[in-house]
Amino acid sequence: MKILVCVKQVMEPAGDISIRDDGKWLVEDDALDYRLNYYDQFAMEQAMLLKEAFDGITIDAVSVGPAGIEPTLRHALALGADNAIHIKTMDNGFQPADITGRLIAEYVSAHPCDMILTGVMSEDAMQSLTGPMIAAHCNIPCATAATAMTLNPADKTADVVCELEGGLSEQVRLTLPTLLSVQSGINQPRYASLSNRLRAKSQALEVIDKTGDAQKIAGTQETIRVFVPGKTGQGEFLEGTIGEKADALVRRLHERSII
Amino acid sequence: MPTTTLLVADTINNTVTSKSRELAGVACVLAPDAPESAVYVLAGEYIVQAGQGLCQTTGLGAIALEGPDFRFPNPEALASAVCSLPELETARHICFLHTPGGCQVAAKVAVKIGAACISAVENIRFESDQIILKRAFLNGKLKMETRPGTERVVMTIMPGGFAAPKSVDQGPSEPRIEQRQTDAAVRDERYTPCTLTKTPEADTGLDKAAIIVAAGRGIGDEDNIDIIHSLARTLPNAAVAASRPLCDMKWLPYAHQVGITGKTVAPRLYIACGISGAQQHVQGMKDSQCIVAVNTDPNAAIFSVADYCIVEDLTLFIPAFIKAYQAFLSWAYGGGRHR
Ligand SMILES: Cc1cc2nc3c(=O)[nH]c(=O)nc-3n(C[C@H](O)[C@H](O)[C@H](O)COP(=O)(O)OP(=O)(O)OC[C@H]3O[C@@H](n4cnc5c(N)ncnc54)[C@H](O)[C@@H]3O)c2cc1C
Ligand SMILES: Nc1ncnc2c1ncn2[C@@H]1O[C@H](COP(=O)(O)O)[C@@H](O)[C@H]1O
Repeated sequence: MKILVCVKQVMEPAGDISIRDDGKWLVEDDALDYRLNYYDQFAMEQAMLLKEAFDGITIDAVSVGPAGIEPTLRHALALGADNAIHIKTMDNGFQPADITGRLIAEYVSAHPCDMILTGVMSEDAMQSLTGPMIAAHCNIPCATAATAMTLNPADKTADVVCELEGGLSEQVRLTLPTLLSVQSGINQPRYASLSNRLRAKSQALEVIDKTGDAQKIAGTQETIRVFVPGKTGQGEFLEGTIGEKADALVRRLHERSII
Repeated sequence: MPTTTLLVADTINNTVTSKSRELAGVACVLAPDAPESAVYVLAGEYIVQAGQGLCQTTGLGAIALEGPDFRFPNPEALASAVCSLPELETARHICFLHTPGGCQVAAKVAVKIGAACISAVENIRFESDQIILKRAFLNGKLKMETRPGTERVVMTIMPGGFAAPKSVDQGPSEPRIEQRQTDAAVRDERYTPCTLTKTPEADTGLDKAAIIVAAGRGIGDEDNIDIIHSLARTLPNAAVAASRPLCDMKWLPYAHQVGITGKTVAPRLYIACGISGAQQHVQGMKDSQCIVAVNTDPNAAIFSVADYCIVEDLTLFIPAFIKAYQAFLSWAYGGGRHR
């Protein structure tokens, strides 16, 4: 049985960012910190838990992006993936779920798998769409925001708990092949083992070059501009030394009879 | 008048979620002069009654899809049902709420009809007749404007950006709800919803607290949760809350999580410490009477909902604030009171 985990390299959202001259994306250089998307750690760990629970499972990690995402694929290997696939695209700014979804679906149609795991959302793009897009293009059922799952290899099904809002959860039975978008908290992601870290350094990545296909993979949307939202004006930024800010805050809260 | 906007409501247990009303606010932007061109779509086992309420409060018409397949939320069946609506032929805008399930239906419909699909839309404007959608990214720190490249557009709407219309002009005729029975053709045998469960509420004191001190991933280290607890102990009638990642790490139980998948709170004072301000968190606390945010990043989204913004390292600021507060108490009450 094969599990495909979709991993994304994201910019550290709290880092220093600057906007490109054309205003359409961010300057991506060494000043930016990159890491594995928060939710994808849980997707990777879920694949590892299945691999440990059942015989004969292999885990492939796939990522779509420019050359610079290689460290994240190596990180997925270090976390336990057996193989890593790099679908290489041009580095040209925001990549909508529609394109990523089509590229991964195209890969899956050539390399079938039984289960696809994605994170529920990427921290930088925040679309929550890529998983469902892959499923739609592959025409397989999909469950979102999974907070628990059990695999039933005998009848090729999976029972999944999907988190809804307001404390509600829905239990769903899916027939494989299927796609799950994994919600944080479904498990406790482990650290990379030393042996996997060593293997990850030297193992060859499978590269699928899509850099020449810019025309073919043209998306259905265009980013006009990205910008830092203007201050709404209502909030007051307290100034001064740390002690002065603390005093000012106490005073403001007292004036409003809050403390 | 042909239907040009479909508003697919979120339904559960034969009721319509309150956020679904905000989709009417989207219709006001898309077709301010022709509200009759927008209709709601609702699915449930028996959803007509709930739909009538929605029609009355929003002044819009609705299509009620009823059938046993919609006893529990079923995004796969809903996508099939939406794809076979005759109204889809003329629809240019197909709107869902931005939830994981809403995104699932949206993606499937968009792929089926070859439309652009844009999620978490906060604002819509028109520029020489072209629709431009605004959405947040990087945990809300930045915004982007996107132009769909297809005639028809599928979108998921981030609640909070579009106010539901307050008073409704009923017009010459009352808005109509049309009941339609769905059959087994909508069912995907590979996807079967089985049960719906509700997590029992644990008592965390968050409902009764006048002040909530909330910790986010910015506290950095598990030991620093003590700083948050000591602030809550210092302030009168205060309780501790957290963002989701903190609960994922088990630094606090999930019962303390604030946000769309946690609790909704509205205390007199909410102090957000090291919380970036992603919408999923903000929606659970934005109605607090006064919001203080402490964050090292001056562009953090949480500052856009805060009354008082403090750009500092919380591990330094909170002890300083505790000290300032205690000094204030002994000044105000002559040292006689400790709380
Ligand atoms: C379907 C879904 C449902 C969700 N439901 C919820 C929910 O109910 N509740 C919820 O909270 N989240 C929820 N989330 C997650 C949400 O999108 C955010 O990822 C999450 O709220 C981020 O938590 P955070 O602000 O603590 O962490 P981060 O986004 O990592 O932010 C940490 C912040 O701390 C600041 N910081 C760092 N160091 C310091 C320091 N020393 N001093 C001060 N500040 C510092 C950083 O600048 C940054 O802004 C949900 C997500 C999804 C996809
Ligand atoms: N470029 C990418 N490569 C691989 N997986 C991705 C990529 N972008 C998104 N994903 C997957 O899709 C999930 C949701 O991302 P998004 O739709 O951007 O919110 C992520 O958690 C990843 O699992």
